[in-house]
Amino acid sequence: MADIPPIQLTDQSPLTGDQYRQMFAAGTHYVEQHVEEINALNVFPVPDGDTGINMLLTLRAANESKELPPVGSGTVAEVSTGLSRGALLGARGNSGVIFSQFMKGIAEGLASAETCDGADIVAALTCAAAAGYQAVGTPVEGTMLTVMRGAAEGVASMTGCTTADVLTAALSAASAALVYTPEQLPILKEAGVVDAGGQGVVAFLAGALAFVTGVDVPLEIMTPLGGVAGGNVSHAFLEHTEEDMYGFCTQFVVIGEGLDVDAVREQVGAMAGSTVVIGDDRTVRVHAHAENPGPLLSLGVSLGSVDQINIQNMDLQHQQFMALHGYTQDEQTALAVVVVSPGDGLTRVFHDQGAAQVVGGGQTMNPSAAELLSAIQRANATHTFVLPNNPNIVLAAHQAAELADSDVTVIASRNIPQGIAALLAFNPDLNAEGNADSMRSAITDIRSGEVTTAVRSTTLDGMAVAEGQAIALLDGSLAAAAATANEALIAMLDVAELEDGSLVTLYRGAGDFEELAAEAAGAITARYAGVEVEVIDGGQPHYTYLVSIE
Amino acid sequence: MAVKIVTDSTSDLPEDIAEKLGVTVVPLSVFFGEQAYKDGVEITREQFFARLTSGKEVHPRTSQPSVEDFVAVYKELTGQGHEIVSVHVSDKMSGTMNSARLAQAELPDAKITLVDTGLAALALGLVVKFTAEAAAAGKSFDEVVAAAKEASGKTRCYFVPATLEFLQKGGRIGKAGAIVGGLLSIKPILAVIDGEVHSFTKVRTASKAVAKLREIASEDGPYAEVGIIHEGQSESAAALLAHLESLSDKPVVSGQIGAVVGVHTGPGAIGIVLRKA
Repeated sequence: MADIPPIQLTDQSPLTGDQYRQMFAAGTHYVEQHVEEINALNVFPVPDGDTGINMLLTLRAANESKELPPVGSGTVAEVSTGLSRGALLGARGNSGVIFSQFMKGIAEGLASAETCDGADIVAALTCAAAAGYQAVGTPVEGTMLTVMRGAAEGVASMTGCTTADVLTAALSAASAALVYTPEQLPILKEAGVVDAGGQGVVAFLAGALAFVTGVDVPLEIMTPLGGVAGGNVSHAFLEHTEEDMYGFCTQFVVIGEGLDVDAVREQVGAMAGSTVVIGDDRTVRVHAHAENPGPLLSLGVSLGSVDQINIQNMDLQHQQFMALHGYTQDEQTALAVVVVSPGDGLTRVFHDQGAAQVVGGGQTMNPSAAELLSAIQRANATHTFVLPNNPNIVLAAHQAAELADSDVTVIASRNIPQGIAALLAFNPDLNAEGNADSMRSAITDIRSGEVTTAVRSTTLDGMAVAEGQAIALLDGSLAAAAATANEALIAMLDVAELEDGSLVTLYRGAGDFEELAAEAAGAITARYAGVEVEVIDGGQPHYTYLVSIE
Repeated sequence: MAVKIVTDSTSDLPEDIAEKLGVTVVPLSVFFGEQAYKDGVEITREQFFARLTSGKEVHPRTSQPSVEDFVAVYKELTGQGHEIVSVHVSDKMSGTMNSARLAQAELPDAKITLVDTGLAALALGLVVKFTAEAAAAGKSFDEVVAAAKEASGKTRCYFVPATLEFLQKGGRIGKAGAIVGGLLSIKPILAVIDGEVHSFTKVRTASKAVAKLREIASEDGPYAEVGIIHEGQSESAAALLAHLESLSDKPVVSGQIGAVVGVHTGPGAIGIVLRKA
């Protein structure tokens, strides 16, 4: 995507299929250039689902769709259908899923288009907005849906205009809708951000406009309150692709001066698969799947100082899975459960409790619809339940369910404790309906906490949080901020008002937290009479503790 | 001449009910090492659990009644001119039915029908009670047999052992075997289905497990009769019993776990039995 052919549209004739494809690539390129800023627009100062990454990976999947006609051929209808199919399968994160639905709408709007003129763009945007609203169960205003609808409404009355005119109007209307999102969603206002997905839509439209006019379109991106330090790349990210789920998933950040991102991308690409290399001349984030992570790290060290190293052995996870399940995949079962797990320890817990397939992913690593679909297929059951265990994976799970040939029910677990509770409630002897009921009911019975480190300073739920402080969330709301993880944990449990007989399970994160967790367990039993504590090695990144309270 | 009901000691039927309905209970045996004790005859449930939890004993075993035990009971009853409906523990869990079958073959002239309830513990107990009540009400032999079979199919049993250790050691874990082990401590709620122990659902704490039993009981009332399975005296058992009171017109049958069932459930188990009309 880095190299957009500098095609200048010298006349205002309609776009050919090929040009339409290039316009789409240009939109993708703009999202890629602004991916860090879009990521930074998260509401909670926690390592959250990276909207920018998710959108970019979804757009890339569209550009690389296997269903596209060969380059240099194809009508606009064929190209947009091919793009849409790629996005549908490659969608990850809620923003990616919604964007893939926009593209489905666009393909419908362009279903009979040989070429694409201004009127076609109007039709495409109108269908895109409608498809987006349809795809989401309860549409929320102040999100990328609103921004896309803004774009559609901004061009609805235009007739006889060129693609450039229509895209100019669309970008301007979308930007206006974006700026207004904090007025519609109070949580955005409190965090001082605009909607990240909406920002992605605006970036994409800007790229498309830049292509048809041949003029660079400047894009201003609002930064959240408290600012995002340019060089402080706060969270790692992860993505898996089906073709190479083996080897080591290796992620790190290089901090240096005068870094050449394109050169680094090329070098990393030559050494590993599934590479994502982004950043600027001072900070470069690297994600890759390699047989050996050593050479990648050596490359990083040769470029600057390396930070935020996260290496996961995907072979091991695969072997553990195969060992546990004894290659019994040929035998079709009636019911199975597919879960998403962010860490090795949690993966073992899920296997112990009978999950048929575990897909790696979580907070900052949202699996794509295609990965979830593939897990559903491997589960080989007549009816499969999917536990996404993250709000930002729920839509991708629904998308996978739509694409699957077998029956699939998504149990919308929003975090790990809910996912474990739902899995415990699963009974393969019961029918699908009964299981859906009891799994859903198990989710409502449990309270969930998270302890992590604030990645920026902000004020949230009336609480001031400083970057680097330990913060604790209870059922998705900020409950405590403190100097240490254990202090934040205890303060959060105070808010939870533990009852006699409660069980607190601490899933400790990847890192050297064994002693810390033992101390926390001691502190909890000393503080709350009649409360039991269990510590499990969860192995999840970013979160010192995931906590279930029941 | 009357229709008499015979069962085995896994029924955990309270003694007063068995006596009042004239039910003959053939005891299984519990072994501590080489020493055998007839369930409820040579060892009381209190003595048994005291020894089980003393920490000094190897894990006890159980053994089905001998063919002679059944022959003796059947001979005595038929000698008095009675007909016998012999109602028993699931033959997937115990060899008791085999002994009874062989005893029946020894007495070709006696009128004896055996019923495999596919159940155990007080679930079997409630089927026995219903069958004996039918006999006491003067129903015909065939009607009594039909009552036993019908009640077997309409009685459900859910229980929560304090630990899975005993079911596992005793080999009675059935289809629930897969839930043993793992990193999380869990409280499984087990059900007796098709004569075997199955995992019904799993929760994390004892109080949630009891709440789940209440929920299961309330899902599908009212019932012809309900029972509570428990060991020792506990607040949660008392509270569960109070809840069950509302689910049937008949008083709740409170069945303490006896020695043979106790070998497999271990101490501290709690459960419910639900019999639909």
